[in-house]
Amino acid sequence: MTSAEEFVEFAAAASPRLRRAAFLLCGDWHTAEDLAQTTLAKVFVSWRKVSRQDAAHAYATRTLVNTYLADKRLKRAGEVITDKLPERSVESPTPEARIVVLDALATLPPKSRAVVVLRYWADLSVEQVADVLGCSPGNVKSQSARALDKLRAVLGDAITESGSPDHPREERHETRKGRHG
Amino acid sequence: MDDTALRRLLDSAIVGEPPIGLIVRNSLRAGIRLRRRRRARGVAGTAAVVVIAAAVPAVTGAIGHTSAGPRTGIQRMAQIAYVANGRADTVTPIATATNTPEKPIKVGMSPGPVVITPNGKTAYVLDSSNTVTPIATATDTPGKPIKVGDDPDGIAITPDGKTAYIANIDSNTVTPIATATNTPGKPIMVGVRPRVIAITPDGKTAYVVNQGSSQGTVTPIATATNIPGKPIKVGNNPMAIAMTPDGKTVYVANSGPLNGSPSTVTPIATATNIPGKPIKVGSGPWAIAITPDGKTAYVINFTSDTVTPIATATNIPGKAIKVGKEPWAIAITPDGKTAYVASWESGTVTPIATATNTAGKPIKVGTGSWAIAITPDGKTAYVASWESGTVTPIATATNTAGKPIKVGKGPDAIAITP
Repeated sequence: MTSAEEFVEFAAAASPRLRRAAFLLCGDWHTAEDLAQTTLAKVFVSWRKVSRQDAAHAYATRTLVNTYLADKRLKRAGEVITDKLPERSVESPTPEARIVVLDALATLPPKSRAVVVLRYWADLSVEQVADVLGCSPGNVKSQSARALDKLRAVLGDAITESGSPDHPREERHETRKGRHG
Repeated sequence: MDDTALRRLLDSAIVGEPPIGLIVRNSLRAGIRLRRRRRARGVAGTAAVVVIAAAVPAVTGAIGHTSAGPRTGIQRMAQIAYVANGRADTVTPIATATNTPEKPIKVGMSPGPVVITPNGKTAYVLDSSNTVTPIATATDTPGKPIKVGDDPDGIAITPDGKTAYIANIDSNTVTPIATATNTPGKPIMVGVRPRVIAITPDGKTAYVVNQGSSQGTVTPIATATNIPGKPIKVGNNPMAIAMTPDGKTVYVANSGPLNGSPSTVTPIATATNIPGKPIKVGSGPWAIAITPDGKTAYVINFTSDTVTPIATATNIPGKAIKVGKEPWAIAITPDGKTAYVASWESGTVTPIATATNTAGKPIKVGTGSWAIAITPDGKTAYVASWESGTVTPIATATNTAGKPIKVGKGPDAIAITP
C-alpha cells in the first residue's frame, strides 16, 4: 500500500470520530466538517512521521483541538460566555436534549470545552489530555472539575427531566440493552 | 453527574450527523496543496509521496475495507463471532479457531443486537442511528446502512433467511427487510414500544412483544402478507420471548415492576394465539432460553439472582436455581446439557447442568457481562463483558475460562456464524 493509500484508510476510519468531536466543540456540522477536513489535511502533511496507527490517531486528536483553539473563526460566531443557557423561542418550549447539551457546552470557555470533550467524550486519560493541550495533568484536573460544576449547574434540570440513570445497570432496567439515547 | 451520565449526554447531542461524504478525498487534496505550499515556503517536509490521480475512491455512507481480503484457510473453517461494541461504534469479528480478534468493522452509532442469517452470509447489526448495517461475513465489509424506524431494539430473521424483522421502540412499528436486496419494506403497525421478536420454525408467524405502558401485548404478524393480527394480552412490562423448537408455544417473560416482587411468564399456544395461565417465576424475569429438545424453558430472574426452570409439558415452574448477582444473559449448548448464565455484578458465568437443574462452580470472567453465545459445535461459550471491553472464551468441556480477548469499548452483543 502506498503512503497515500495508508492515509486514506486512516482518514476513512478516523473522520467520523474527528467530525463528531469537532461538532461538540463547534456546535454545527458544517463548521465541524471544515475543522475535521483541515485537521486531516495537516495529518497528511506529517504522514511519514505519524503513520504508525496509534500515533496517527493521537496526532489527529491533538491537531484537531489545537487548530480549534488557535482559530478564532472556528469558535462559534457571536458566542458569549454567560452563566445561563440562552432563551429559546416559544416554538420549542421543551428543547431537545441535543440543543440543551450544545448550549451548555457553549457556556464554557473554549479550552474548558476541549477538556470536557477530550476527557468525557473521547475518553482520554488526564495524562493524555494534558499531552494534547500542552499543560500539566493538575491543570487538566482543575479545569475538569470547574467545567463539570458549570455543566451540572446549567444541565441539572435537563438531567433530572430526561431521567437518565447513573449506571448502565439502571439503564438496563428501562431498556433491554444499555445503549445510548 | 458521573462520567457515564455525562458521556451519554454528550453522545445524545450528536444527532443529525450528515453522511461522511467526500471528507476523505477533500482532506487528501487539501493536504497535498498544503504540503506544496509549505515546501515552497521552505518548511522541512517529508519525502516525496506518490501523487494520487483521480482514482481516490469516494467514501460515502458505510465505509468498506478494501485491504482485508476474504478469509482463507483455517479461519474460514471455523466460525466467526461478531461482537458489537456499544461504545466504539464498531463490530469486532473474532476468529473462533484461534480466539484472535480481527480488524474492527465500522457500523452505526452505539451498535446493539447482532443477528446472523441462517446461511451465515450476512450479520445484521442494529444501532442507535436508527439504521441496520448488513455485514458480508466472507469479507467483513459493511454494506450501506438500512434506514428503519426510531430506536430499533429487537431483530429476528425468518428460517428461510429471506426476511429480517426489526422492532422500532419509538415508532411502534416493525420494519421488514428483504435480505436479498437489503431494502426496507413498509413498516408494520404493532403495539406500544415493541421490543423483541420470535418467529415460528415454519416461518409463517412473527410474534412481536410490545412492552406497552402498563399492560403488555404480543402482536402476531402473518409473514406472508405482513399484516398484523389481533394483539394478545400478556403481563406487565414484557421484555423477552422464546419459542419452543416445535413452534407450538411461545413464552413471554413479564419483567414486572422490578421492585423485588415475583413476576410471571405467559405461555401462548401458537395454534390459537390464546394466552395460557401465567406461570409464577422470580422477580424481574428478563430473558428466556429453551433447550433444543423443547422440554425446559430457563427464565432468568434479574432481581432475584436466580433462574427458574419451567417444564414445558406441564408449564409448572421448578425450584429456583441460585446464580451470580444480576444475571443478564443465558445460552444453552446445542446438546442441551448445560445452560450458561452470565451475571453482571458478580463477574461470573454459572453453568447449570440441565439434567439435574443444579448450578456448578461459577466461572470468573470480566465484570459487566451481559451477552453470551455458544459455537455450533458446543465447545466454546463466548461472554462479552461491557466494563472490561473483553470477550472471554469458556471451554465447555472443562468449564474453564481462557484468556480474555480484547475487543472495542462496551461490547454489548455477540452472535456466532452457524
